[in-house]
Amino acid sequence: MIEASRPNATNALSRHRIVAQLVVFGSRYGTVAVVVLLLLAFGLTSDHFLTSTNLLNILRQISIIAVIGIGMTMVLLIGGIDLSVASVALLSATIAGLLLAQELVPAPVAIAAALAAGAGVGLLNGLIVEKTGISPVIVTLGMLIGIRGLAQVILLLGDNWIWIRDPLFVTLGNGELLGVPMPAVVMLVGYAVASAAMGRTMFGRWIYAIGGNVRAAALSGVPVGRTRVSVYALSGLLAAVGGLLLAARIGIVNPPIGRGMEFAVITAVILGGTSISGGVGRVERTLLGALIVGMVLNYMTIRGISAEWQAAATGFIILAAAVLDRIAQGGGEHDR
Amino acid sequence: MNLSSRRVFELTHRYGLGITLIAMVAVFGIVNPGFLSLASAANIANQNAALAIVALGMTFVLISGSIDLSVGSILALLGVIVALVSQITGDILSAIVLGLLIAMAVGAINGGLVALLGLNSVIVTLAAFIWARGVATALTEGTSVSVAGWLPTVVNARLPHPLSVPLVVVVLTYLVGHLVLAKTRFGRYVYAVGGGEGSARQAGIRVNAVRLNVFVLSASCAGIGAVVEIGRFATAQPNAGFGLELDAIAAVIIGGTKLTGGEGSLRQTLTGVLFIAVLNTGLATVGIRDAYLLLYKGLVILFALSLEVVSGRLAARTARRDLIVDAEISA
Repeated sequence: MIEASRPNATNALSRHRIVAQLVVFGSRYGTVAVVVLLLLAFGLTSDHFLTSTNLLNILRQISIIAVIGIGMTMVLLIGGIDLSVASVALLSATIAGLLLAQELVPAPVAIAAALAAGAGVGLLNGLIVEKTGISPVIVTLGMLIGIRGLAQVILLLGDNWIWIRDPLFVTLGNGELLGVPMPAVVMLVGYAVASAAMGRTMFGRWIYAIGGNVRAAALSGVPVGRTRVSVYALSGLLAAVGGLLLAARIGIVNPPIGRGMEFAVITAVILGGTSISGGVGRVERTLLGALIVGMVLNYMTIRGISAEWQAAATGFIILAAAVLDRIAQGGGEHDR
Repeated sequence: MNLSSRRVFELTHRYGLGITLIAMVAVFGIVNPGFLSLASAANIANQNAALAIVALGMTFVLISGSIDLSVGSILALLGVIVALVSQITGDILSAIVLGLLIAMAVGAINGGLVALLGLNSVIVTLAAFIWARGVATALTEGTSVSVAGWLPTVVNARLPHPLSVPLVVVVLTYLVGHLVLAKTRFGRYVYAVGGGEGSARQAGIRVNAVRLNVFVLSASCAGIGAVVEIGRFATAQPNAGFGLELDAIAAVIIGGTKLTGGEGSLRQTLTGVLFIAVLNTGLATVGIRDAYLLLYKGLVILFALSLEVVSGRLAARTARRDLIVDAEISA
């Protein structure tokens, strides 16, 4: 009996090892695997999908969400959240658009003012969260409402409709560099810088330390408060960059632009495998998350699926990604 | 001197929300005297009935330590479903019953993923926030659907001011909700799960069942809110309840329920709902343009929250200082 049961035992053991290896592989390369699988599946079922024009088009489409996603990834890594990004993007687009439309200042100054406003709102988010201890969900929710309101008030000065005609913006939105759309170039540069900063600087290490264990980080000398405030400021700054790209791409600024975009950004970050409870994740994976969303939406457009069902499908994609992520990582991450 | 400033801080901490509320009513009343009438009170109740009902379910979810971002979208989806079914069958009652069952099913999907798979509720309900609105829009192709049957007549029935059918529904749901939360075993379990999942499990509470049920409850509340809304307007709109989840969460948090779970009550939520309701309707009645409305709203909400947190902290700090002073005097 004992002899007979032995092979079974080793079988079970090796099967267990295979599962374990699959899980490790899944959590490490799962997002990449999904991107590759989608590329293959969509490419095989559509003649238009795998053309270079379409792939570059996808890059252009995801660039705004992906850029804002850099900041959002950092905020989630420190265990926070920033719901105000879409409103900040509108504010930045409004400020730059109005300054240019009234021909008050040259384009670089308008861009600088818009970026400063974004970083300022982010700084304010960070300071309120840090100094009052109010949950970041509430603080940035208040900012989502308040800043969209502020931007709309400013937009009234431009009769709610500002044309962007500045040549620098036209290039930023519709130009190309070596065949790559300009917004995608900005996105790729942003990811290169952010990825290097997260991996090679003290600031990057502090972010992971805080997300992993705040008390341990504080005890080992990490400037917790300053780092957290800086991360929110960075998120505001990157949201402002996203707002400028948005204004440049569509060529107008009006009240509804960017509405609900914060959810698309968070979706990309989560699809990239960053944990919403902090400490776990990689900035460059957010780009993959944005790619997944972009590819699926693009494919549905090619297939002639209506915008309404595309919106519904986006929700199910998030659910599927969250479930896959949970299975890959094993165990649960229960609410609080 | 120290003692008096401490008292001021403590009073501000305790009654700050009430004082801000009274100040708001006073300001709106001065700018537009019509705001202080019974008709206006009925108007506030009608316009914010759905918010109040949704906030009830949200209170259960937040006390249990989760969050539900999908209530606004579920309200839109359910309104659309009830209206469409009522047109097909011609019978509004069966449409309402079916709608509420579907609401519970959607809540069970949210709750099941949170409870059984251990997914974070932010992600799960964020997904539902998107898909439910998407399905609602797709079903109606973006247009509004009229409601067949007696529902609008009943919901808009004229009662003596400030009474109205939506207000009666709110009062009834809050009475039942309060009894469930404060007096039943399920209510105690909700607090226990939010206070600490581990100890709740050790105490023999079926944590997963509690988590599942709070989401079913929250979605059901959104379903009831949907019926009230489509009754008021006699049509269902796929963009109904946009931003409702944010108002509901703000109302619950302003009332004093903590996002971290384990604390809170429906009495507090009702105060928070009143705050948001007066703010929403008040800003609109004094003729503030849409653009400014959001700005003022954000500022007032932030002010109310900061007032509570900062005064609480100052009260604690002055209390500590007084202790030290007392100790030095007696030494």
